[in-house]
Amino acid sequence: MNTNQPLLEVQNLSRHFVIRRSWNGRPLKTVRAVDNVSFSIQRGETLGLVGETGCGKSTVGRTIVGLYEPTAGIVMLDGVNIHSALHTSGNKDFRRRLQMIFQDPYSSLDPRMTVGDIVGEPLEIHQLATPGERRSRIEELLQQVGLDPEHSGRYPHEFSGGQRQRVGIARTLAAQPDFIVCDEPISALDVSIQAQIINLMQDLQEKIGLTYLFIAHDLSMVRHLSHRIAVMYLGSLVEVTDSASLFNDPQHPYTQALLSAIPLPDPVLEASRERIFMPGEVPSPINPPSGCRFHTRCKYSMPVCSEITPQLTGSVGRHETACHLVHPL
Amino acid sequence: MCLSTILLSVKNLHVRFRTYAGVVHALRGVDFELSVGEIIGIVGESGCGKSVTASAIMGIIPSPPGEVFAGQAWFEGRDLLKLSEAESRSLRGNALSMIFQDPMTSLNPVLTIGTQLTEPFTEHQSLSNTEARQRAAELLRLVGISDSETRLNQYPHQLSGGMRQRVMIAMSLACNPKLLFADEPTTALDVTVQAQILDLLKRLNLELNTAMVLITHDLGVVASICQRVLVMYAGQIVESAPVQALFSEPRHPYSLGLLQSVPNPDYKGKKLLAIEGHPPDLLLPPDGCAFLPRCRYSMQACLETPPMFSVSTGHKARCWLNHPDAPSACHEVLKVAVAT
Repeated sequence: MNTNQPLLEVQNLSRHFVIRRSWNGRPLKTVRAVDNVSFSIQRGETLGLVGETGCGKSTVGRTIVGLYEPTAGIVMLDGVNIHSALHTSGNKDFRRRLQMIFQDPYSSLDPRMTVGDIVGEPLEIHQLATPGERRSRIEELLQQVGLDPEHSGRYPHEFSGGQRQRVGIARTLAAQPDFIVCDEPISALDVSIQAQIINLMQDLQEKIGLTYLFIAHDLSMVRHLSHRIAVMYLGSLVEVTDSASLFNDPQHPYTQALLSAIPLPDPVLEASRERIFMPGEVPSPINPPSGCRFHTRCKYSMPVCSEITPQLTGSVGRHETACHLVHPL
Repeated sequence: MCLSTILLSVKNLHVRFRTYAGVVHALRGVDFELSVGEIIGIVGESGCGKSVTASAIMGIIPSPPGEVFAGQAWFEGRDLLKLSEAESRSLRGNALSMIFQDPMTSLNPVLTIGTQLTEPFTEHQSLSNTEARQRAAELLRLVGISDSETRLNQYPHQLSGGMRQRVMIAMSLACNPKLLFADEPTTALDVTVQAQILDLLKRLNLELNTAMVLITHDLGVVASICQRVLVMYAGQIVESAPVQALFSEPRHPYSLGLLQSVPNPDYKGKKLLAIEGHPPDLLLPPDGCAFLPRCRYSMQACLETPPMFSVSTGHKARCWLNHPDAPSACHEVLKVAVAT
């Protein structure tokens, strides 16, 4: 296997949802949730995916793990197109290798199953442990995420939010995945508990070499955890780069505005800082603006911006930006 | 800023809830003061009593199961906790007002924005419908909603989250309240919208001199608009400090823990200093310091409940480390931790 090959490669991925059809099934109204998105993630790397509500970041995550079929484009894991692989011969191995941690630790665990059963289910489905070994494997997994193995007989409602999120992580790990999509794993938790979960995720990455797609809107946590960050606006990527240069040298006007909106936990810095104001609201993805989707709110917008859609350009793997201002035609 | 005029003075506030599991002692003696035109922040984890404090002062604790069983809240010469329901009703939405956390569920989905926004005027100021509508449209413009006449005829589902939160703010400002409680006003919103809402609150504070109590768990929000911060833990205020002082020299280990669990860009790749464990169960409030089981600096003295120690002007902390007779090393220990 080529060592430079990324673990996960997303090429020109689009996912549209038809929300109204005519009598003969012709689509009348389509939400273009994700439009022509490409990125890749190396083994052992964390890619942060940030953007505002409704920009399509969760849809990207869900399409990658196969919860949605892509409208166009492909997702490759180790060079194999996963969506076609999922169709052939019920290939459960791809499902096992791509796992997901969900946002809401309250609704993502079955209230009628014990924690032991929840964590043990992937072992059973993917036949990763014989019935004899299962018990000890479950205990091992619970220990790995910092829960007391004694508690495997308890039900989810007996745990706090942070502990439930640990159960969710243990369930994910049970499948021995290569790649985990974390869809806002900490946004439902308290600040002090968030730090515990982030530390756990980092520990696991170091120990078992996991690869994460970390979807979140809390930019400071994304910065802390991610090696690279992709910024999304209205269904397309506007900037992809390593996390240091994204924060020190944001190039896309949207990224600049987004970063300036984060309140800093430091009253002195906060008072001296200038905020970039974005007029108006995010346009509807049903009828996105032509050309650059950000041009309606961009203070640098030029005539070309409403005509030609800028592509992500720049040295690949370094600092890529989709903006006519940064990369003139 | 005029620190001399006290607008609200809360003394020894105790609230409990009777539940099937037992009596939950949600507030265990909360004291604080708020000056005219001041913005204070209340921070802490879920369940520490931030929202209960606001609800108790507003008089909207559901009873039963809730009960304010001790304490006073003096506002303009009256104890808010002793008012009759009618008196309390005439104050709420008028001189006292509240913005709720969730803009998606706090508006009535079957009434238009106009109907909901004119209610405070007809209720408290007995304006006619046309006058009330005019004032409502003005309010919408004040909170930065364009095309306000059309918006008045729309229903909540036709507005985005940020817009709805602005409507909530407009509604709470309708009668120029002297005191505004904002319970996590931006938690459900994106950072970009949050920035706009915070700017709006700041502007209203400057223009209308409204005093605000901002409940949040985001220290960034506190740093950007508050003048003073109360840190709450397990139903008590554990530290009360001017915002600068809290960030530069916290005097309670819990405040320090909160500050350290926020990622610092200078320490990227390092571990976050999480506060291990979880808050105590208020069904059985612990004896001694409530933070003891999670504290890195715990000692023998912590088995006894610490009082509020005054550290400097306007800076108080409920921790034995600040005892005047404690060795100076105790005062230093948190400073050292902040520096590293």
